Amino acid sequence: MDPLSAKFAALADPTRRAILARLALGETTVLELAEPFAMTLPAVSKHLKVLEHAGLITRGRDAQRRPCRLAPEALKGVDDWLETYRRLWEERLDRLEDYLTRIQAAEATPKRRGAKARKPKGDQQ
Amino acid sequence: MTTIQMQRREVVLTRTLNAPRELVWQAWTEPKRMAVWWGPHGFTTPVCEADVRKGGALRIVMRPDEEMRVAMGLPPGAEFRMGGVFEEVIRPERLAFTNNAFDMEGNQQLAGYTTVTLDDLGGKTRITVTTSAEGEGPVAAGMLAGMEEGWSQMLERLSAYAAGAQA
Repeated sequence: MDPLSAKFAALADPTRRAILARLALGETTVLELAEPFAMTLPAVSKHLKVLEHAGLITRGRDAQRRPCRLAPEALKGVDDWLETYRRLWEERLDRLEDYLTRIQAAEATPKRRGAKARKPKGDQQ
Repeated sequence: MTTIQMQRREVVLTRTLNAPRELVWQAWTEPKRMAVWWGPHGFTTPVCEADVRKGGALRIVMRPDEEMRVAMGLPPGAEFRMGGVFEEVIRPERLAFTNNAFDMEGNQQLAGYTTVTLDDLGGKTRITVTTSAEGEGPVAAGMLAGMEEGWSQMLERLSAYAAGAQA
């Protein structure tokens, strides 16, 4: 998964967006974060791990507190969802193109006259 | 209290496909064929129903494969739903349908409208897809407190994206 996709995946969850919104107000600890969200510490930690993995937040080295803050430039590249929406559709058309190529190749294979196009091998769906 | 902000975006894509128009039409209108190519990478399409006539319904469910599910931090069984209605069906050259995406709790995240135009180039087909998306981003007012305008816009875009990416 490329870094931008990891960011979007991390941001797809409303709780994680809310955590980011909270961090936009300033650095905080896991304990402080857990409180307004009425969540257990492990649940918050799990969300933080996803956000950290996506490069959206960084965590301090202080073993006791491990304060969380927004990563600098965290949202660089994320802002333009239009571009991402376009990419989704480009990808979809790529797959359409692949599909058309494969079924035409399958039809061209002289198996039976008038044989219907089959799903090509290796398709997962 | 929630704030609802709408943002509309349109994307136009054109490309020439090396396939006759009739086949491209079938790929867009026969659910079994659609299911093969509709999902983004890392997703399968276990449900694909399309009643291709004016007023007919479109229903698609996409499911991340295990690798994608884990990478996205989604719970087991997570899937994304899209529904819509065909508004124009002119065989074999034009389709228009609404495509609304829902989050995992079933809340509508994105209202989309897509048109597909197929031009016969004699054995090849030029396809033009116009798709617009309007995001409804209900964001708890408290969440926005103290946030800059840029942030609220970002959240709005994200909710649209989150749904759009799954549509």
